[in-house]
Amino acid sequence: MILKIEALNFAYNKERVLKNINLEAEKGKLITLIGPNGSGKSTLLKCINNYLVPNQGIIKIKNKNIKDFTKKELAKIIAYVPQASETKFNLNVFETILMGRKAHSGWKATQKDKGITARVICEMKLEKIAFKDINNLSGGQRQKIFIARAVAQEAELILLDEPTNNLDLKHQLEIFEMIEKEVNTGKTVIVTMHDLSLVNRFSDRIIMLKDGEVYSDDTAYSLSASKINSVYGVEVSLKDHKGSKIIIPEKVVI
Amino acid sequence: METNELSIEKKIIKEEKKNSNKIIFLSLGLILLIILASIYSLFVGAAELDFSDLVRVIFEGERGMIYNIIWNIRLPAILTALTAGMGLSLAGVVMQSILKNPLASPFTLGISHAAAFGAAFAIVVVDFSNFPLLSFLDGFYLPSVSAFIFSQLAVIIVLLISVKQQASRESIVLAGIALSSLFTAGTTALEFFADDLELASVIYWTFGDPGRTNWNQFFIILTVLLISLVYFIYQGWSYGILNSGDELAASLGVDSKRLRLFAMTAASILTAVIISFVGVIGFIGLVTPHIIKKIAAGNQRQLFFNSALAGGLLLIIADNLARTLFRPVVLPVGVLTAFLGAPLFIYLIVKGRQIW
Repeated sequence: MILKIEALNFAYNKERVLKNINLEAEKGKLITLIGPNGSGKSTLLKCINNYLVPNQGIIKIKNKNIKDFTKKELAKIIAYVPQASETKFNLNVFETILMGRKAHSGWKATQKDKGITARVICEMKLEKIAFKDINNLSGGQRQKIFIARAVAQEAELILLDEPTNNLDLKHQLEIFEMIEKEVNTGKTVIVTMHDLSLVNRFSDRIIMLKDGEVYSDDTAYSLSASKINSVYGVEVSLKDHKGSKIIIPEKVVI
Repeated sequence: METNELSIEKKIIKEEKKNSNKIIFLSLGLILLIILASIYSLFVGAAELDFSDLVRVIFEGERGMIYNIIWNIRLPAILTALTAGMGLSLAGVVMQSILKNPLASPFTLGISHAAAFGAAFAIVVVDFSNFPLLSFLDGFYLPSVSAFIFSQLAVIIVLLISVKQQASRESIVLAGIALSSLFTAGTTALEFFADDLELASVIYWTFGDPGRTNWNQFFIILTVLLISLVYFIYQGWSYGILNSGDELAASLGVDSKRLRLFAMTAASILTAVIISFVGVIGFIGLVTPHIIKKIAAGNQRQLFFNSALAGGLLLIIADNLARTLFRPVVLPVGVLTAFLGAPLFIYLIVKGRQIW
């Protein structure tokens, strides 16, 4: 069990965002968090990443309370790709991915770190843009680079906050293929998403959040029209397609 | 396929090495230029010296006026220009990085003006002559100490503004402008009440000049510079990561709060020490990081180091110009950097976001 969350509560000021969350995550699984905007998905990721400190409850990483880790120790176990990464500064792709090695080294990147960075660049097929300034790349390419950085971090648990937002179809699929590859090597990936058809196709497990509470926690097959209706307030129809389900939004339920 | 991928990996590592070597060449080039400019500066000034004078002083042990010019006037001035330029530039590039603001520098944030006000305050208002025990303070060090205290005050205000309400970069610079005008107004008011001697001394302070330091003051600046430089080079990688936002930095194991506090403290002490001995020298800290970025930024560590070197070089050159343009009148270098820096500052504002 890589992650265990017990009775987690989180509030921004007085507003309760997460209410009594209990979750466990096992190794080698792709777990998706879905739910409407403001349901607490990103906040939950930030709590798991120890960036936000919950008001109540315990988060355990490998059976150890997250509070008992130093920042550096935690960075070796958990990698995180935030929703919007700032890229104001000139950095090339290599340097950006190399950042993932910070927790593993001291003040300076070692030859090993550079080797791992080069390997990840090849694995993710980024060699053609390896020394381009990331500010001159498309949003899709940038997102791939940020995920590559999380991969270079060699963490067992990878948290991705809406990694496919604003991306075209090709980049969306490429990103999910990158994620699948990581899951197949035994890593646990927790993703927040809005595209339910993609979620359904790739996830091992889908957790639905509604108003800061876990509404359902099940396999992809169990995603039903009635659940989506009550969480999102939208009527949908589901179509079977190659063993997965495609979700078609029909109309808003008032 | 496997071997193919391996060779591509090797190629990438090679390319990375080549890129970083390029930056090392830039550093070496800057160091060479600094040495050349320093040697040239030894000969240039109100009194003309030539090579034989230098040989006589260094190798034949001649003592006298030329020895005095070289050892007590030129050399401390050149070395102070070098270290002050490096320090102001380092402080500028650090502030730009920490506040995520390309317009940040000791000068634009009002820290320099606060120091000038502090010096003026000490010169005009404070008078220890009636207190025999404290009268030793009334010499050269009192304006410096007062400049230091007031510049720290400005830093604290800027820090509070940037931390308290997640201020935008514009608002930090605007706060800096407000602080600058406030302290400039304060200095002007003091000038109004000053007698002739005090007035001359206040104006002297508002336009910095590395030529006014002695060896002791140079060594104080050097010590603070070296400590800061070593710290920022050591932590360069972490500061680079900080640029990508606190959230990401935390997930990569970097403690952003502590780093930011350390950086602002170190940069402001460095600035305050330099300004309190040398006087206000504007725009060096603002402009050099941008020049280096135009040439080749490299990573954060290299950017810190090369910006510092370029700042040292620029101030040596500017000081040379200031001493020779209107010979035999020696212009304070602060006047010159203001004339050169202001148009560049406007250029940066106009070009603004394209540069970043």
